[in-house]
Amino acid sequence: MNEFSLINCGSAGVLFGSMSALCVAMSKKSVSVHSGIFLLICLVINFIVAVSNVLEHMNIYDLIDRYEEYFEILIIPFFLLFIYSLSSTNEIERRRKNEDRLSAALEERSILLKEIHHRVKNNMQTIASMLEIQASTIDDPQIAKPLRETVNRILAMGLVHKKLYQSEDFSSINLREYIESIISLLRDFYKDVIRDIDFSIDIGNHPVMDLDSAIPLGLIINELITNSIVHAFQNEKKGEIGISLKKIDDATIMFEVYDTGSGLPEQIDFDKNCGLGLQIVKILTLQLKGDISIVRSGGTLYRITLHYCGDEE
Amino acid sequence: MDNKRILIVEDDILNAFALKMKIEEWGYDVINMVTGGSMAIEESKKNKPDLILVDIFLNDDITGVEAVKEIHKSALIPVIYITAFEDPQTFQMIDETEYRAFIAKPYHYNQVKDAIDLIFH
Repeated sequence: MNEFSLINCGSAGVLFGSMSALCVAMSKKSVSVHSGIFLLICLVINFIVAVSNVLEHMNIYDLIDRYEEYFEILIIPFFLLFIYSLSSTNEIERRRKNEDRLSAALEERSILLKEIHHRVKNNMQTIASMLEIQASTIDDPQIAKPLRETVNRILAMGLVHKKLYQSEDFSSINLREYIESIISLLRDFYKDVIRDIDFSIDIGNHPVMDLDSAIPLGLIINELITNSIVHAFQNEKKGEIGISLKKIDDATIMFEVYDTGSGLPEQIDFDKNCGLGLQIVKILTLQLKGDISIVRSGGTLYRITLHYCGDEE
Repeated sequence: MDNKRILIVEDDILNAFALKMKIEEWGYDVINMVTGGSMAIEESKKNKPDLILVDIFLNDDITGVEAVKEIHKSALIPVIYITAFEDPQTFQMIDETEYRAFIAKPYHYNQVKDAIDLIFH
């Protein structure tokens, strides 16, 4: 046996050892199957070449000598494939870890937002409770009334958080559901006053609205409907209060609240002198960068044009 | 007529106090206001209220739902849940117990009155 065959013998042994170690590692799943197979093929080719060299230099009839050249050529593409496979496995692993981290962060964000909404609602309840306690200590209902109206304003704001919390979206709310819940709140509150009033809601394609616009809009609705319930039907027995929302174009919506009651008294000038409720409506319309106008014919109609950039569901 | 006796289980004492004031205004008795689940169980077993108003997350390890489960083992006292949690997991949790109404915070006192009146009249 000459030196050359001894070296080849040694490398064949080392390669065989590496192959066995690789197989064990693959069976324990500490090496990924894909890159393991490529590496195994590289090792097998080298092993065959080494064995072939040993046999050749020991002058034994060499059965695989004829194929040795092919194996030597094969080693390079297989080695390249092995590197490619290894890098793609690493990339997949890296992306999977990123994905896990992202979904954990999302989950955390959602829990945090829920917690914040929960705290906001609890705090609103506490504020409403304090006003309610205060109102309860006042014997004159006329003095207690503004406090209770403020409770309604807080609850109308609270409804936004309720709807956001239920939507699991946290960025926008369904306007129809929101308006319906404000009306239901007011119907409940004024059930002793409301005799035969029908409520109608006409809100086209279920627009959704972002939080920044929804709260002022909710407060506007609260004020206008409260006004209609309390003042519009003092003489009439029956009537209707309605809300309609129409999309004029992509950036504009027309929002109307109307009642079929006795109409806003002539002495109330919307631009100059009006009650706190209507002043709140004017300020909030400004905040929404909208315009408001009143139509007095067969009741009262408040028309608010909003330049709105929300989406449709 | 004997006044109906109500137990308030709420960790926010100010909310509990406001509820107590309103409930008494409506002509019912509030036997106690407690802030934790274990106190709710103890108070219910001792004083047998006619109705329990209970929040879900309280200031001890026992939630309102767990307290209700424990109380209902010995007496099926009517329960109204009052909480700021309205997510599906909460509903799943409370659905494991028997309750007469669910009121979400922030609520209007009329909602509470209607729910209580419905149980007693």
